[in-house]
Formats: sequence, structure tokens, C-alpha cells
Amino acid sequence: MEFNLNGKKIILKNNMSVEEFLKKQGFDLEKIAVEKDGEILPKSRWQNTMIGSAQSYEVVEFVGGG
Amino acid sequence: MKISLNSKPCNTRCNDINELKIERNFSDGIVIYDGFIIDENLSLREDASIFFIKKGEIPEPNLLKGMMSARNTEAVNNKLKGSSVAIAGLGGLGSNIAISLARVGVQRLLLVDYDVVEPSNLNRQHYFLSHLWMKKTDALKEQISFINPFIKVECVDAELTPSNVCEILKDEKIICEAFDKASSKAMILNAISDNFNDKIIISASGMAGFGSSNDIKTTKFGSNIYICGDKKSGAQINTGLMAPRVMICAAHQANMILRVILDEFEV
Repeated sequence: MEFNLNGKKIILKNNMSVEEFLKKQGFDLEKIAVEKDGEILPKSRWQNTMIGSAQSYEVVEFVGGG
Repeated sequence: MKISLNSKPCNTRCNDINELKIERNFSDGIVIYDGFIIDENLSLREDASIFFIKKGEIPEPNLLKGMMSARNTEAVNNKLKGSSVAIAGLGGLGSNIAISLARVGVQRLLLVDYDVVEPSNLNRQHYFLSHLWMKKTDALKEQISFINPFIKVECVDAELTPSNVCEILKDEKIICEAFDKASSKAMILNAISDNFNDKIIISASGMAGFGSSNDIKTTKFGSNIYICGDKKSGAQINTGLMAPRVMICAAHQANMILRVILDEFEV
């Protein structure tokens, strides 16, 4: 399957949950928010959403400071 | 002709500002015409909003309120009626955002923080030495009462966590995320969007250091979240957090909040 992650094309052989994909990509799951096809995908749905169910993901990695 | 003079409807036969000044016995002061200070004579137009501000005079509260918002323009003031914003975190971002929104005249502010003011806050946060070790909620409420006493300020002295954030913010339509920690920023976005779909969140990420001002931007995330900052400059050992960039980012958030209040949803 094929989709975009932060504007870059990703090709995967096996489908997997969004959570598993994010972990494999090395994201710190405590510090990110995920947009799936233009809508936020809240953390509670990462486990039950398959990564192949969308065309495009944006992941924002928050940095500290305020 | 029907105009508004010092917030009051008024019928006048005057054709211009100079005639109105004579009619109202106004000489020494500031003239604001539809949100703009003028020193020349201009023709009056139907429904114009005029303020004559007498030098040295402290007006009664109602008039003061009108004069304080005279530079906003009437269209903005009309939309600010009934406006309300929750600010989560009252550090460098939240304190400056709160002051900005209080100045413009957002009618109600809900201020949420559990912390107290300490010396290392003062390089960027909107507090005074006299606030040291006071609760940030109380210190900010006091300042807002000095700047704009017409703002209704409510405070919640609590740390927002996944278990209380939705309850505390359930009635808030516009939520400003102004936390310090990256994990808290992600937490509030995820918790709120998991439980509500009608809230607008204005968040921030990346304002540490002294990189270019122009790297700080407002971007949209999902359909109702805005993120301000350069998205990369995090506070860490040897990367400081200082007033100029923090205030730029806070101003981005405050302006996006104002835009949302004014029904402008594009960045």
C-alpha cells in the first residue's frame, strides 16, 4: 500500500495499525498528534485504525517551551 | 444625521468634526473616527463612530469602556460581545496571550494553571517582581483588572491531566494550549479531539532560542486546530527560552484567536 507521511511517499508491504506504524517510524507517542486525510485522528483511535485506510498523514511532533 | 458619539447614539446637524467640536464644546483632546485617530477636519457620515477623549479626564466606567475599545473599530467590538477564551497554561505564552486578549476586550477569560511565579519566569512571562511565589492565576487576574477591568476573569487552579481536562474545558468553545511540556501539548489536543468535535484549539510548538522571527508561523492542523511556532525549536539544555520569540509566538496565537472570534478561520 501507498500513502503520504508529512508529504513523503511511503510504500508498505503489510498493513498495520497506525500505532504500530508510528512506533516503527520512531515517533515518541507521548509527544505527537496525527492528522489523517485532513482530520485529526485522536490517540485513542491509533490502535484500531489501519494505516492503509488513508491517503495522507501528517504527524506533528511537539517540542517543549512556552 | 445619526452618529455615535462617545458610545452614545446622537443626532446632529453638524457636517464635520470641527462643527461637532464646537457644538460639544470640545477643544483639547483626542479625536477617534471609526477606529482611527485623526487630527484633521473630516466630514461626518451617517452612522460614524466618533470619540472625543478629553485630556486629563478619567471618564465614568461606561464611557471609559467605550474609549478603551475605540481603536478596535465598531465591527470588531460587536463581535467581541459574548466572546470567551480558555487559556491552558499561564507561562510565557499564556500570560502574554491573556494580556493581549484582555487589552482587545475578549469578554471572558478562563485561566488555568497550577503553578506559582518564580524568578526564572520573569525573562519572558508577563509578571512582575511583586508577583513572586503568587499563583499565576491570581497574579494574572490582578494584572488584567489593572489593564481592563471590564473583562470577566475566571480561574482554575489545577494541573490539566487526561482525567480532568475534558471536564474542566467542556463548556469552552475556544481553547488556547499554552503549556510548556511537549507531552502536555499533545495530551490536550488528543483528549479534546477524542471527546468533542466542536472546539477550536490554538496551540503552539517551537519558539525557543533566537532564530529568525520569520520562522514562526501559524498553520492549520485538522479542521479546527491551529499550531503556531516554528515546530522545531524546543527548549533544552543550552537552548534558552526568551521573551522576544515567545512573545512573537504568543502574538500569533492571540491573533489567531481574535480571527476565530471574528469568524475568520483561515490562517
